[in-house]
Amino acid sequence: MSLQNSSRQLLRGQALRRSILRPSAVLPSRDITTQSLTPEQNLELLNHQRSLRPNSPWHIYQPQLTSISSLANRATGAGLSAAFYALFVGHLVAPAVGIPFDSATLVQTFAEFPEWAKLGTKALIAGPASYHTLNGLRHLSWDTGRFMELKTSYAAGYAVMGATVVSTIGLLSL
Amino acid sequence: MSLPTLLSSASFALKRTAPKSFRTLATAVNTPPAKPEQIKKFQIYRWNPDKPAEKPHLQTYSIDLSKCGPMVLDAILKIKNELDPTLTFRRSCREGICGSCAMNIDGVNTLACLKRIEKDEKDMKIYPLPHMYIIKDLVPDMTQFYKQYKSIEPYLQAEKAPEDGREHLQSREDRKKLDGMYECILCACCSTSCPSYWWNQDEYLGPAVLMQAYRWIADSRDGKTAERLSKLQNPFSVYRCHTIFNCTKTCPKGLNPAKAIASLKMELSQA
Repeated sequence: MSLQNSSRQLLRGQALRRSILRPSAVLPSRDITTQSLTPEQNLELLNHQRSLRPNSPWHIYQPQLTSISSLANRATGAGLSAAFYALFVGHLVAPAVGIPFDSATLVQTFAEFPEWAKLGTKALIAGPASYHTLNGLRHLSWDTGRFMELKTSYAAGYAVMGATVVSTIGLLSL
Repeated sequence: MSLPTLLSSASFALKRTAPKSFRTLATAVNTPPAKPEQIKKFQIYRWNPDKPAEKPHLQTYSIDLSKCGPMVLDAILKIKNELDPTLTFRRSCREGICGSCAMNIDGVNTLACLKRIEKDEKDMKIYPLPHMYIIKDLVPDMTQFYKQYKSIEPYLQAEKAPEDGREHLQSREDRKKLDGMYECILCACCSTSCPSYWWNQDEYLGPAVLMQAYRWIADSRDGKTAERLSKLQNPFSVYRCHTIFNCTKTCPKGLNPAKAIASLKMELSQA
């Protein structure tokens, strides 16, 4: 048994060579020491090490069409909601502080915009609204089990992007 | 004994006996022309738990691709063997079946052993799996991932003993439902590519574990389908999935966790 153990020790490249050259040195000296710990001490050490561990970066992940279209869905939804809330709250609060914010004033203000600002404002609303609506249809079809392969999901993604451009241009030309 | 060694010893024997003008075997054998040197730089994430105050950083290593195997795992093994033995990573099977060497290579999660080294001028960037606690260098702490896997009870729970007393039988059609799910090697590439999993790792189970949850729900031999479904019926376990599809895009085994989760959602809506 002890022979088996020591021969296992020897079966380590350098140690083996050294002991063949110098048979007296049976066990190589190592500058590593071990320390025995109770289970409680062990857990304490583990928890200490855990508290020091860094979180690996996620922002290095390459943007995918899949993740970007999902992010855009969230951003357009949140943006449109915020804009509509601002409009409603404006309607409610602005007259109380003496700023005219009724529909007639808004229409007049918009009519006085230069042409590029008119188009820009319309695009800012029409683009996100088109995308969010059309991508919503993509989500609905996912929920019924359609377009669930990688290829079909990508195809649906490109279709939504194309349709968004068409729909935005259509809305702008109104 | 390798062929070159055999040849050189043979030529040695010939040289000793043959006259001077004799053409030896060594000169007759065409040695293949040495491949041109092709240096590729690898930038690898480093963090040493023995010096926790030092921030994680990228360390650059240069490798001659003409003297290296084709896969990223070959390169990092070469770095560990020849340049820096302190570089730490997990690896085992080197053929995409153990899932140990999952890491983020050039921005995408994959297995280092299945990922070819691009032969271009660009530096290759290697990070550990994203948004995980790091034990050392490329080694993430998988405790939470394995706990979540355990929580779905990933084993057969049949209602009654098999009829023939030996094995639970199922039809070919029922067996086919498990294809594309049982092949998962739990490398966690998909879960750690999922933004929802990044933000809600504590409660959301993530694509890998959810696909395995559905693998047992879809199994005709399992009798605990209702219990399995009711355990998942809450706002976080499944419904943090927003069908982003990063999981399916990145799976090194070509599986489709997004589809499995969609099927799971449909089962839940009918349960």
